[in-house]
Amino acid sequence: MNRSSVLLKGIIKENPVLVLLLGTCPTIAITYNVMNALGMAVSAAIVLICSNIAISLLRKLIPANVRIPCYIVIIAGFVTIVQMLCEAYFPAIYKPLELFISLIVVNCIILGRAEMYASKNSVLDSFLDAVGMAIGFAVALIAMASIREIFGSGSFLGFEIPILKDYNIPILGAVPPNGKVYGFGGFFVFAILIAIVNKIMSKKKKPKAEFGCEGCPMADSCNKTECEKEEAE
Amino acid sequence: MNKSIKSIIVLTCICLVVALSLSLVNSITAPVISKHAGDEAAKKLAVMLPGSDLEKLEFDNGKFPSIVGAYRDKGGKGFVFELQTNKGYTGGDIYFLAAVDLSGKIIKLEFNNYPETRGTADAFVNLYTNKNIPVTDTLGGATVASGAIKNAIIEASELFSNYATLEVSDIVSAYPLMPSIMPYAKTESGDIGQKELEIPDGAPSTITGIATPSTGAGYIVTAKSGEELLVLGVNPYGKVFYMSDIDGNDMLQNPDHAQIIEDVESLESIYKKNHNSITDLMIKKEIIASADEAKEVDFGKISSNVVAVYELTNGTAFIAAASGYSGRITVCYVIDSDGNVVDYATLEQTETENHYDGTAYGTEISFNSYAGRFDGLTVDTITDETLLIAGATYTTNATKNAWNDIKEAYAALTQEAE
Repeated sequence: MNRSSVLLKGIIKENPVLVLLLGTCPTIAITYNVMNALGMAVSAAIVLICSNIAISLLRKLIPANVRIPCYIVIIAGFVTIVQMLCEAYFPAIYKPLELFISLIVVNCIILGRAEMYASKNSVLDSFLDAVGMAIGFAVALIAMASIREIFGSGSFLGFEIPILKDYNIPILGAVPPNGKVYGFGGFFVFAILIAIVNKIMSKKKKPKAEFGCEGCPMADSCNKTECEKEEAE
Repeated sequence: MNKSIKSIIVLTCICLVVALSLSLVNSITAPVISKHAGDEAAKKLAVMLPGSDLEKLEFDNGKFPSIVGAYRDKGGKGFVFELQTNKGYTGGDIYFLAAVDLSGKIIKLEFNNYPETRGTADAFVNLYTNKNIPVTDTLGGATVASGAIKNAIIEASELFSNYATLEVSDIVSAYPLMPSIMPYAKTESGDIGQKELEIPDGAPSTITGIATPSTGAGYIVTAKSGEELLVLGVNPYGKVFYMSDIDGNDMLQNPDHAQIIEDVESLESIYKKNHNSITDLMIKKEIIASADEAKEVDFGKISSNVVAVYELTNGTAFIAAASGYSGRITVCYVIDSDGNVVDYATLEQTETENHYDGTAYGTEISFNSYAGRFDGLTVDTITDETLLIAGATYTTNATKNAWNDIKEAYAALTQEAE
């Protein structure tokens, strides 16, 4: 796999949110407006990149039997640093994201990439993988947040869109004056986006045999040495 | 073994490095975060008293445990108190701000993290804004939180009085005597839950204040006899049963104050209003068809939970109000001349709603099945078991208190008739 494909796969083909279905909790919870989505995307990106680099650097030192506790300590450390820096220097963005930044520690994307990629690859490859995944996460968050904010509250980045403001659909997850956020809208928009991505991906689907065990996310837990062959659709 | 030791060493080293990094970042960011918090707090305080220049006041935290911070405007606009109480219904901290002007009036109240039932914070704001400290009203349906918030505001008023001259009205100064004058009106937490009433137009000039406990079981009236401030306890019929000076020294038999008793008993419009609302409830609950069917019975100076007695066609209706879990419970027993309970109704209650498992809790007293418990019973055969509501101790205690007083009133009335 060349370096550009390492970088690009995280954006669409292995998008962590829309294809791998990782990190769905913050995705649904904070994407009621685009500003929150941007804040979360940047925070997660910093943690993802830093933790991937650190774990890749230490991959030969960390014994296999304590790898998960080590990864979690490293990830938690970076999350706490991001949290402290955000609270100190970007308090306005920090306030709505306070709870969700802490939850980045248990975000499946971070630990998943650490375990599946950074622990097995070089620092540069791990960095590129993290950047690709971070961009993919950001794309998914911003796409969801844009739909929910534009059609849910008739605004974008806090700026009102004149016509849409009068015809908004609050249940899509916008924040009405009483501060209520509807979870239904998050799930609904998420489902639509997954369906669209699945449709795009189904046209490009490769037979399993071409995928190979190396690129399979289940490789570590699967006992098979090769996948069963299947005709491409 | 070597593998285990290596694992321990590696994990420990990683933890140490992470901890060191965190402490380094914390040393840089902590002062900035602290400054933000201070600015945020200052902004919140400034909003409470717009245009003010606040200075922090020193006070003894041990004496005022509910006061987190106290500030005074240098320009004389008033005070801002940061208050916190940890005795909410759900057990969570209630943190709020109160802005008080120099006359002691609460001009703004703000709850920052109300952990209790939704909407209740707004209800407290509506209840206490523009009221003078110390506040006395409580919020129906939020008994525990009411007591906690009220007490926090009372602490603030004590601190306020250290820094400002606070004039306490006559009726408020009489509140400490209420528990001894009307012990039957206490709630489970020991509060009386006073509600100040307006002095009616045309009332004698000697009357300086009127209040009633939350159960409505009587009145407290303050009156001036010359220079002396007197406190009078009045039963729901408007009969004075207690009179003392502000220190609680008995004055009831003092002939010098006989006029005051007459003045207090002349406030019929207040006592009548109470009775009109009772007959309305009796009509609503189908005890009577119209108010004409209920002839008021006055049997002397009584002081208990009994708020009214009426002669009906099928018996005598005894109405008593006691303090339940969430507020006043008013019950009506109709007893005939042979002591049979011929009718029962819970006229009003605000007890706990049906539980998710179908248990009715306190609201069971409004069900037909509860009224059915008294079918065929007499004054002598009603027991604690009859009144018991499983899982609703406060409600049960209120109904027992009400029934015991009704039983006493029935006995007194029967004796009087004989």
